[in-house]
Parts: sequence; structure tokens; C-alpha cells
Amino acid sequence: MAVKLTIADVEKTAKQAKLSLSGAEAESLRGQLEETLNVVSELGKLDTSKVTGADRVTDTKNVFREDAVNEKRMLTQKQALSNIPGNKQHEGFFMVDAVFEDKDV
Amino acid sequence: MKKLNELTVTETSEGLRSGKFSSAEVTKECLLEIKKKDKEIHAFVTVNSNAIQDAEKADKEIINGSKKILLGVPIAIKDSFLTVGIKTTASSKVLGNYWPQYDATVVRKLKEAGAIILGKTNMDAWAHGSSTETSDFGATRNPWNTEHLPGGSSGGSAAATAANMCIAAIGSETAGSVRQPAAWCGVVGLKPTYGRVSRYGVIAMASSTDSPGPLAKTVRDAELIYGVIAGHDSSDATSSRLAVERTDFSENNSLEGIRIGLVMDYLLPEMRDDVKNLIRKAAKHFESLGAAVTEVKLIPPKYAIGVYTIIQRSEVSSNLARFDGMRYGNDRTYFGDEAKRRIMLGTYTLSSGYYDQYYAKAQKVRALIIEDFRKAFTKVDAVIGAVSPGPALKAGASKNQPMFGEMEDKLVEASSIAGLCGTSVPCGFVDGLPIGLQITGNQFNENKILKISDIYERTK
Repeated sequence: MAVKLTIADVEKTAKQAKLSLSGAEAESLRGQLEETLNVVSELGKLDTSKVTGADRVTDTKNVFREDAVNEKRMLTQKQALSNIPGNKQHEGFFMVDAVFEDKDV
Repeated sequence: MKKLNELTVTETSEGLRSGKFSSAEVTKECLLEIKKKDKEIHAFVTVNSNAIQDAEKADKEIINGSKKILLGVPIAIKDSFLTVGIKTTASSKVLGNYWPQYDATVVRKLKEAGAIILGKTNMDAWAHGSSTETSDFGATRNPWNTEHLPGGSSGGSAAATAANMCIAAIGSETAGSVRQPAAWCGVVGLKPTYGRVSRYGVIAMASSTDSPGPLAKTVRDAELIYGVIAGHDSSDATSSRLAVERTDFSENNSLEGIRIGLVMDYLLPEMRDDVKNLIRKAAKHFESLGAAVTEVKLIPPKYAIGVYTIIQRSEVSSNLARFDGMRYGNDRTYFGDEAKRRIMLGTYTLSSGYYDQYYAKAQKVRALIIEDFRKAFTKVDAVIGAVSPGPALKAGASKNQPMFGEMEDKLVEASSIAGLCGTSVPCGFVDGLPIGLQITGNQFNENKILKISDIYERTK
């Protein structure tokens, strides 16, 4: 059964991915994504009823560390802010998009 | 008489230690070669302006008798590895002006071993590709024929090594990105076992398969660099605590007792006969050295394509979510077409309503592939085949293809998603372009495959 994607599917996915697409881009992506999904849908032919997913490739698991500060891996505030221009910083903070609409919250 | 930039790591180290030449001289020869050839080849995004100074410091240490393994040896590094003081871009406009505040563990280890960082090499943007054509800064060209591509995503590292613009280079492989450009450029590539080399400070592509590794002029050079960069890292929770086993390169050229499996499914129906013949010739050569060569059957590559495409693009969509332009880099409007394509596919396959059909299903088939290899390695020590369906393609080959990268890497995706180790070693030419043989082993069997690769390289 062939996979069919609509422009609405593409726009919804783009919103989730925080990508802004032009109309032409969305249509072009629609075709390409549809093609790719049809190729990968080949996997449906394989019987995996007796298998649990391989969420781990090697035996490494449950790797914990002490809840202690490792000074060797710390960035200073200056270092942390160094890749953002002055107009996107405020008194040592990153400026981000507003989360709340209501300024009185 | 070789020019200094044409030397191997081993030859460079020997020459430096015995005072035949200085690190500054080798470094200058490499920089000269870059100046001469890089306008055409475009292997580098950034050349380290402090390289000669660093080499002069190394020369002082050499005189003082320092025994650092890579002291004074100029190495080129793929631009997805964070390097303090050197711009790091992943060949993307999003990071066009990003200056890392910490070194990747691999970079730190190379520096501690005394290596000279020559510069940062070009790649497919975000490592999304097998051609280096998706770089936001222009494609790299193949030194064997500049109308052709070097492969990718570590295309810059492969081309720089093949063109003797450096003594060796560092790349990383998600599925094919070290071995395929090594094959297309006629150099040695090693993809270590997943978790063998720290991913800390490497701009992430698919976190469950990314494996940093060396590209070099000889197998022994690759092993030397591997010995420096491999090992547990507390900053990478997926790195292995197993001790790193080094390869014993005795001069014995016998493969008696070694069992090699020729993967029949990798002799693709669409593969050219002259490429197939080179692989069969390699199999015969292993036999002549005493190896027991048998035909092995593995799950067909077409299923690996599906598994890899879904898992990789899903993990890509998650890993690239951090690039919001708020803490570093430009905003998401700066992503190129290939990045958008992959983020979109990955977001879809992870989304509610589709997760089970795609991502969960892919992880299950992944388990089948892991089991398939486990069974195969009870019967053979290594499997062999071509790295790539054919020789290096012409520039432009990757344009307007929704799955170019995944299609080109179909012969190495299975081993990547199973976290295995593998080499690409040059095994001949077709149409004047190199062909690479893959020698692939079970997890943490690097010493075994490097031994086989070394014997092949020296006796073929």
C-alpha cells in the first residue's frame, strides 16, 4: 500500500520541526518525503513479531556518575555567551523568544 | 625521493625523531601543497593560521627528547570536531561563525599526543551525505580526477590525505562517511566499533551510530592514530570501558587459521563486472595467503537502507533541534535543502501515529541485523565486499535525489547500525578511479581486521 503525503502533513511536520518552508519548498519536500517513505516501507515485509527493538548497540547501559561538579568541563559565563552577539544577550543571560504572552504573569 | 608532505605518519615520526627534518618543515610543505592545490580540490574550510607556530613548539619538544606519539605530525580534522580557537562549522551556514569554547575529546587526545592541527576539512553539511556536495561552502573534488567527487561525508579529509595536503586526517562515520570517501579517494579508512572512540565534542548526526575514525595513507598509520584516539571517555556515556587492544604487526604475512566471508549480497546485480572482479580477486588473494574463504549470506542491503534511513534521520531531527540560534549559530532559516529534507523525514517518523510504523519497526529490524552478523561471526573472522557500489561519481551526481547518501552507502549501512568495526583499503582502479575493499569485523575486533588489512595492503 503506497504512502501518500498531503501538503497538510508537510506543514504539520514543518511546524513540529520548527522549519519555515515556502509553498514551493513544501510541495517539493512533499514529493521527496513520499518517495523516501515508500522506499523505507519495504521494512514492513520483514517479520519482526518475535523481536524486541535494539535500543542499545553495545552492552553499555545505566552509565551513572557522581552528582559532583567537574570543573574541567565547566564553561565560564563569558565563554558560554561568546557565540551570541551583544544585542541577543542581556546582563549575562541569553535572550529567548517569550514563552508567556501575558506580561503580567 | 618523497617530498615531506608525501610521507606517512610513521615516516614523519621517524624523520622528526632522528632529526632528518623538522616539524616546521613538514608543516610548511603541507601548507604549500594546500596553497597549490586547494583552490581546485577545496578540501579545507579553514586552514589553521597557527600551524607553523605549533610546529615550531613541537620542534622544541622533539629536541628535548619528548616521546609523544604524534609529536610534530600535521593532521587535518573534519569540521564537525570542535576545536578551540579554530572556527568549526560542520560545513553549514548555521555555524558559519561558530567558535568552540572546548575541544572534542579526539582533538584533545591528538593535541596531547603532539599532533599539529593543519586545519578543518570540508564535509557534507551536518555530515548529511556521501559526496561532500551538500556542503554549504562548495563541494570538494576528487584528487584522482577533479571532475569527480571525493565521496562523503568526510570528503575533505579523504581528499586532503590522498592529495598529500596533510600526513593523515580525522573523519567520522555514521554509515559510510569514513569508509566511502576513503574508497573513492584511494586511501585507508577505519571505522572503529561504536563506542570505541569518544563522540564528545563531535557535532552529532545519529547518536546511536556516529563513530570518529582516521583516514590515512597506510593501515599502520590508521592503527597508530586509532591507538591515540580510542578509549573510554567519562564525557561520553556511550563510550566503552573495554581496554583498547593494539595490533601486533609482525612481518608474518600468513592468514592461516583466518576465516573470511565474501558477502554474496554485496555483489550487487547493478555493480559493474570490473568492480566485482576486483573484489573476487581480493578474495582469491586472501586464499593464497592461507585464509579459508567462504561465501556468506547476510540480510539483503535493501533492508539496511530502510533501517538506516529511518533511524538516522530520526536521530538527526532530534540532534539538530538544538540549533535554534539562541545560544550559538544562526537561526533555522540557514539550514540547507538536505538538512531540511532529513529533519522533516525524521520528525515525521518519530511523530505520534507514525512512530510504531517507522522508528519502532526500524529498531526491530536493526535487532535482526545485529543477530544476523552475530551468527555470521561465529563462522568467520571478517566479512569482505566492496565499500561502494562503484567508483567515485561525477560532480552533480547527488543533486535532486531524495536519498542519495543512503543509496550510496547501502553496502556499509548494516555494519554501521550493528555498531561493528571496518576498514576500507584500496584494492585497484576502474576508469582511473580507486576502488575500496571493506574488511569488516565484529565489535571490538579492530586488531583482527587491521592485521588482515595490513597484510593485504603490503602483499596484494
